[in-house]
Amino acid sequence: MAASYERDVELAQQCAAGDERAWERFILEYRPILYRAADALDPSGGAREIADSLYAELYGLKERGGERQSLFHYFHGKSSLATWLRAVLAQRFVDRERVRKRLEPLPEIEKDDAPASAPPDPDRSRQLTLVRRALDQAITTLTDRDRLRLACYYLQELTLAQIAKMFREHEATASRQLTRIRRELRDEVMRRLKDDAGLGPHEIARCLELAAEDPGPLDLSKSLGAAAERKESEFDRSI
Amino acid sequence: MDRLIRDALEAREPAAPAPCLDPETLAGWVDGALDARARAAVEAHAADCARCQMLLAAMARTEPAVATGSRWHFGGIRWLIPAVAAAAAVALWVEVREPAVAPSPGPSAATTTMTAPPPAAETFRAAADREKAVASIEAPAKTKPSEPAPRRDELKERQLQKKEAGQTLDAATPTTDLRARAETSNKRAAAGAETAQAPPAPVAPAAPAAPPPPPASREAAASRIQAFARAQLIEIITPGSAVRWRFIRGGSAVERSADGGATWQVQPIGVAVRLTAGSSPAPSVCWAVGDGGLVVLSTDGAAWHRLTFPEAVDLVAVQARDEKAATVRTADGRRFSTTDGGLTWSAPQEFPAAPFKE
Repeated sequence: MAASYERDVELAQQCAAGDERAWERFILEYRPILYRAADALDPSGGAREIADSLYAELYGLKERGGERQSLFHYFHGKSSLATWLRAVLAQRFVDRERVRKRLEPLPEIEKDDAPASAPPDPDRSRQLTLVRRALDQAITTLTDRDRLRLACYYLQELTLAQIAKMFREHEATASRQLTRIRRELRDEVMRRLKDDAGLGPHEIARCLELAAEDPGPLDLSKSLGAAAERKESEFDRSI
Repeated sequence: MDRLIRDALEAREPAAPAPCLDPETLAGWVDGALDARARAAVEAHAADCARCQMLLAAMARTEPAVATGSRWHFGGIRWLIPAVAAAAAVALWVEVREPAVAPSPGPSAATTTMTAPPPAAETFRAAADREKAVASIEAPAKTKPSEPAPRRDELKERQLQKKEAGQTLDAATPTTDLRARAETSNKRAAAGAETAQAPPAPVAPAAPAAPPPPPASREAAASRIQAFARAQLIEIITPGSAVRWRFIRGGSAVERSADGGATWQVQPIGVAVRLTAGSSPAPSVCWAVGDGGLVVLSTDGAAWHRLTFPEAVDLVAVQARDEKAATVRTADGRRFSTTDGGLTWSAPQEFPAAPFKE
């Protein structure tokens, strides 16, 4: 346990023991942090419910074997109490959202009234498959940390500033790291297309061109619209 | 190609058989408090676990805002740097040399000033630091580091504070842990108080002890901070609207904002009891509860009236459905409900605690 968290552990233990003054201090110091975190997760105020419900668990209304079961018993000082509270809140929020998404009905498939497009070019589809396979394999060669960076950026849509904070580095470093990862991915994809698929330079260029052109199954306009709203500094998104 | 990367990441099979990260490990990773091995284990798991990626993203989004300040552009005042450095060197020399110049054992105002800095000022500064730390914690989470740069005098102040703490100013590596800042400020406050109570330094043994800080000013500072914190503590958001409510003056009055918090109107509630929680199901409806069984309700967004509550027990939470139905929670964990605007209350129930999910 880090020395700087000893006070937090002490406060947590006092709260778990039901010390009224400790509780007063805890509420005074940590309620704003919890509420701010809840509002950041859900600006409409939906996460405040979770924050409020945490107090009951932290207080420990249930007893087991004559001892109060307080959430504070799970805090051992591996981090600051504030960060731990945010983590517990984030966990509850994420689990609730995952359940909600699971229960959400899937959108109905719209009838496609548009005239049938031209039959797909088998060569084109083969080349795209090659690129996708090479890319998938290239991603597995990345380090865990780099894969996590990619996931944070592409899947979780965190901003560069948020990623930088998360990895405890400067925003410019986060930007450089992403550029490096994408360059490495591109090099690895090209190498695999050359070595594994036996493609020549022109075919590789054609494959990459196709991949860049291919609209894919996703509606890119939505993604691009959302991306435009993201608060991030200018960043080259091409490989 | 970006889309391809996204698709490839999304299509990856979850290869994380290990159990998901528990909140403490997650928090330790965020705080940078884990050793290299544990850190690597967290990253190895999170790299392939969608749930833990979401958790990390949620943590990143709830990171308290820090006024990091952009780089200070010296520009036209670059020439001042050597002058300031020279002035600082002279001041330091004078300060170091002073005891030798004035060895007189008698009481001296100069030595007293040199050896025992005014504790009241120290305490005041420490109190101000704490207040700033609280204010930083209270700052809206949406504030980004890239937002308006602080004024130069603030930067100077920060530089001074960091120098005092034996640190070097590095605007490019902002401190991210506000809690740590608050703790530092508290420690400084404590140190200031200790300094105030410490005996005079041996350099001037005959010098009269520095007067301790007036207790009234310390209490005033503490109560000011407490009042400030309390005033900022409870803010109620009306879902789906720009209406906000907050408790001020230690929870004895309410303020309402109809423009998302840009402007506020005070609304007296007519009782001098501390409010502890509130719930606003509609823009003109707000329930608030407080100590001693206080329940007040506003149904027009302006006037408040007190409702009768069966017990004089402290109330800590309220969840309202509309102007008629609400459930309040007592400090001892019981739950009372009303469906007729507080005319009658249901029998108390034990508040159910959800199991903790690890």
